[in-house]
Amino acid sequence: MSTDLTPHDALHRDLVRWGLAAFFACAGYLSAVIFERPVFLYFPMIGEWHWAVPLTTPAEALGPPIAFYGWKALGVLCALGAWLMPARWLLRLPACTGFVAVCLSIAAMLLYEARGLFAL
Amino acid sequence: MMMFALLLHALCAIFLLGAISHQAASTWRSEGGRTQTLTASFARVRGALYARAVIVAYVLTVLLGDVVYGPYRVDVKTMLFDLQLMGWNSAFEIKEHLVAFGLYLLPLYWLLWRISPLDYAGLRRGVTSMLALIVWYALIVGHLLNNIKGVGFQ
Repeated sequence: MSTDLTPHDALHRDLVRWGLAAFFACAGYLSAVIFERPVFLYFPMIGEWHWAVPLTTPAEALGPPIAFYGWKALGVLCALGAWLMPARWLLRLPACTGFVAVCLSIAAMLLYEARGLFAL
Repeated sequence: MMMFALLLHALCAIFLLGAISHQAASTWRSEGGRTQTLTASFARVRGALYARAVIVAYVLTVLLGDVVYGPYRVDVKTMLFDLQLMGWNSAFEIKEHLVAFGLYLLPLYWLLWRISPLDYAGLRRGVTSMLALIVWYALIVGHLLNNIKGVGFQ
């Protein structure tokens, strides 16, 4: 299939794919934040990493956990989903699809975090 | 050691802010018009030359931010909770999320700056401007949080 593509079509396919990869990553990251499901947790006081799937309540003795690294890792894993999409689907979508979806993810994240922000 | 990492993180962020601001401004520049003004000079850069530097600075800033995040979680975030400064905590969490989203946009950004400037100019402008907004927000909030309590100080 890819050998039949013109250079312009190949570029369009790549732009849509990388845009969707960014969106899948943002969506995965945001889901992990909202549903509190990081891939792993890091406990900086004792310097230990713990798998967070299945999620277990961290013991007090371990100190405060960091979920941020686990959220980012989950986002990267979700981005791989963009490579499961066939090229013919990607060619039908506008090049800006992924970027627009990322902007909507940012809006959703801001809405989610706005609860605490107004406590400034 | 952490103070040094935080300083390096800040310096990388300032470099990134300058580069991405020039580049984003260049995508909004209209051809022709007056070129002698300060704003025209600010935008009159060859944006494509900045792309690699922006990516290196962005990734380096994120990595250094990840290094200082551990002490931040233990010392600063705990203090924010203790003092009920929940708004500042949320402002910083938004920064974390935005920076991660920006990181995910970098491959698309890189691809957009490798192609002809005439192709997909609107998308290039949108992605670059979004990254610039993210960097501006991150630097301002990071600076304000550092004013409340910096990493490495007891």
